[in-house]
Amino acid sequence: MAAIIFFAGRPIPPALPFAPGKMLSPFTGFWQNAATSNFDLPNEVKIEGLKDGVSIEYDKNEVPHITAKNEHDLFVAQGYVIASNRLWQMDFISRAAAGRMSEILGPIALNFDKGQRRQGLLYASEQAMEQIKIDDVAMSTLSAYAKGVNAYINALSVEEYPIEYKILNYAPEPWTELKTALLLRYMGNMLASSYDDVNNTRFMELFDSTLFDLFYNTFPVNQAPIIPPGTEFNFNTAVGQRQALPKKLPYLEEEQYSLKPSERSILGSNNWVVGPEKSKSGNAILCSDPHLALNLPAIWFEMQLTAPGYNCYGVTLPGSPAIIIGFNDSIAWGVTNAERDVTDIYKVKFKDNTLSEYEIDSAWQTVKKRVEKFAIKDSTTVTDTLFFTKFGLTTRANRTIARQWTVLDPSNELMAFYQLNKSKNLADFNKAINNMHSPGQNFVFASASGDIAIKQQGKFPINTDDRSRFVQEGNSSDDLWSGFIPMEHNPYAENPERGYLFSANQNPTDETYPYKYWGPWERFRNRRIDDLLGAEKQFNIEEMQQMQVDNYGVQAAFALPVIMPYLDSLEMNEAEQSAYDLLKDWNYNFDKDLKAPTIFSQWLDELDLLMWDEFYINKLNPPSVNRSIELMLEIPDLPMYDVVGTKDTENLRMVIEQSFKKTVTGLNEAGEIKNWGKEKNTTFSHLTNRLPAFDFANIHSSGCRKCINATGSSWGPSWRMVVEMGDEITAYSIYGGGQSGNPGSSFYNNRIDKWANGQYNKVEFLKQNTKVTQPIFSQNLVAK
Amino acid sequence: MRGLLQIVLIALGSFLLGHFMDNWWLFAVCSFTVSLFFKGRGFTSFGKGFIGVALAWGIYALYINFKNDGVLSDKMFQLFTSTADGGMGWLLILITALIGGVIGGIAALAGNYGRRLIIDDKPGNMRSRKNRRRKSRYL
Repeated sequence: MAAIIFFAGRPIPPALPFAPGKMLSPFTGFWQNAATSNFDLPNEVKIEGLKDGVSIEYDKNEVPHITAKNEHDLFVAQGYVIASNRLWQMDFISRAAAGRMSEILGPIALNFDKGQRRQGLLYASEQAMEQIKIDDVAMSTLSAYAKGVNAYINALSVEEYPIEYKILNYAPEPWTELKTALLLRYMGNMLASSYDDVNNTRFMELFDSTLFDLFYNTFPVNQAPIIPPGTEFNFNTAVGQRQALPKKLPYLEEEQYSLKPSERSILGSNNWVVGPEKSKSGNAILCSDPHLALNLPAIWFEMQLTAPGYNCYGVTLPGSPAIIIGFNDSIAWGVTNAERDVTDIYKVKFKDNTLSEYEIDSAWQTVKKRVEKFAIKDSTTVTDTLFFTKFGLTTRANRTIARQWTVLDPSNELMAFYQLNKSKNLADFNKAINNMHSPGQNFVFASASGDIAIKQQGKFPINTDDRSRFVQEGNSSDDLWSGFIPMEHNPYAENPERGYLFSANQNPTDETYPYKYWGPWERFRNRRIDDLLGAEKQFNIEEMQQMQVDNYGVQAAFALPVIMPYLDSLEMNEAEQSAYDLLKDWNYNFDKDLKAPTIFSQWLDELDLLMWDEFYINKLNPPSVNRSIELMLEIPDLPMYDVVGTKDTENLRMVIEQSFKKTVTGLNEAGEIKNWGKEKNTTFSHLTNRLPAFDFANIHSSGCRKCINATGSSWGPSWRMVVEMGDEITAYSIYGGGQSGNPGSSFYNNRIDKWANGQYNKVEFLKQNTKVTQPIFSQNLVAK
Repeated sequence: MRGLLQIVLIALGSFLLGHFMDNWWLFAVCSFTVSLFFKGRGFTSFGKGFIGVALAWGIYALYINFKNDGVLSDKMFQLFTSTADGGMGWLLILITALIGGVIGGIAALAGNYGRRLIIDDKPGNMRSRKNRRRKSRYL
């Protein structure tokens, strides 16, 4: 008997680490996570250290509205509410950010952990805490939040643990201020880690600077930059003059070459605002839809925070206090990613194999070392060393390639959001966002009084010349960053004559901006937004909503008229002819019920592979799709179109024909060509990516990465918000997922259908001293 | 009648211990202890432990599943079986009752043998010695 109970209570290694008997018991196992009412939470909760009572009311969209009598209690309550809905998620992400997954998952997660630590995220978060500790407001906010989270954790009994703890067989640990800092660095890493230095250096080894300029180095044309063209930059700077590249770049070894980050950026977001003159009601309207990975539990949590002097509505990241994107009764704001390159890579010269000293200005300098420990579950503790030089952070695995990266610098982003939450006007807004260093963001702004503004805000290094686009020899302090662009010089525009402002990850300015910058700009969505907002008309909320789910593919509209004529003389079989006709009659809408977008997307991929095979063979990033099409127009006889390793010398016509035939054959091999929605098959995967039972799959949705409605198969508009500012605030919002993080709750994924169909919830924004009209659940927090 | 009492006691005990205590395996201790007090054949004792725990686990799981509209049990069935079939969560209620029942039954059987060892084992009782030999084979 004992043996049976013993084994029924033991983990089954390694695939399912939970104990079957314990897991099946309706008293302790998964059954306890099956929600038997809207909210399986107590109506009254006693929390130690609370100064006064707090009321929490969930409205009919499951959005909690917290009303506290002071800010301390407000953030305690926010911590409590988020933990009671999303505990596992916030705990898991902060452990992942810290590189501590092997503590719960065992040796299989060690490489992931090492990767995280080698980026320096844990180190940077600890550094950031030093700065946060001296800021009373930031520290008391973080501490209050942690108090609220821990009040929830401490009241949990084992059977109440979120189900992921039971499946992965571990327990929640207390929340700390450091964990919030980690979460914000994690976002910085997600959004500001792109760089091309290694790729570019490799390119120069294989090709030359003429081709480099041709493929990578053209200033984007036909674009609508974030700052309206013609805006004067009334400051001067001595830097920014283009200088010749150094004749010799450092040689990279094969292993070093593999350190390049992911290829073409898939990140993206839109935000825009129309001023009173472009709005039917005369009120400014602001829209924001950040594009992020589609996960469950959803990345966002929607809520309202109210206390004397504080009244803000929007979404926050579980694990962070305050509202990240939202509005109060005076202002609204939204963000997109700045995409700026904030990394420089150096090949550091070390004295010997101990990596204790490195060369700078012909002298040896001592390396600062930090040992990272990994306490692997059911195994021994492993260590790894980080080496800090003036040229950045390196590890033995990085083969002495050091990375200088602004995300690792101490900063206090929380204060940007805290102050935004309380901002009353444009001046407050500008002051607040100056706290935002990493990741660089494009903040769009609207106020109830009718002001609109946009700013690309972040801590951006001054690039004196093109050298920082390549790996540099790290041995002279001349090669270090000479400083950072003053915040007041960051691209900024307010109340423009045209009456609207927007950003969609495109280049921030035209060429008149005095500083040099680069990044993987998105070249298509900005044109569509500019076309729509620039039309001679005024807008209302419904039209703004329709615009957020606009499926017009500017990329297709640009590419197809260029490549289709090359098929004119092609002899086609029946299948090819019918695919050709579908494309010919297409209106460039990425509608889920059309086949043309399926053919187009596949064709573009095939063409890219054939045309730029030299890049793929050499593991180089190919030119952007936009640049590729420009090149087809500019240089139709570029020798690079040839496919390496074939007898023929392919020209552009041949690669276009071949890729088309290959596309049609490939698509027909799998039977009938699928409709776009089915082909794309949008899926929200569970945060672990390992528990498909907790995914939400097979969503057929319109849109594409290059449409305003940027819904891809695993990536998309994670939050859509439309706010009309004025005496009364009218707002609509939706995100994919649900407010609950519990797969056993109907609120886990109940918003997905609405989100996929482009529908919204009407926001219930409470003014001070008002109540939710029809609360579905209420809770009171009282002092212990 | 006494048999029914044994089932009811095991079911009730399993429910109360499960509900109020943290250790998931206490129902087995309950099934074992209750069975110490009831005379009978090993097989019947197993059956009573099985039915008692299966009732407590099955009915409670059924109740939760009803209140939850099967939201979680469907997902858990997919998780356990690595399939994508929805709507099979009800099967987990049966499996829950079965697993609980088997553990409860074995605990009751052990209780039954324990009783013979401690209480029924008197000198000269041939049956008991035979049982002791049989028991040692089983353990």
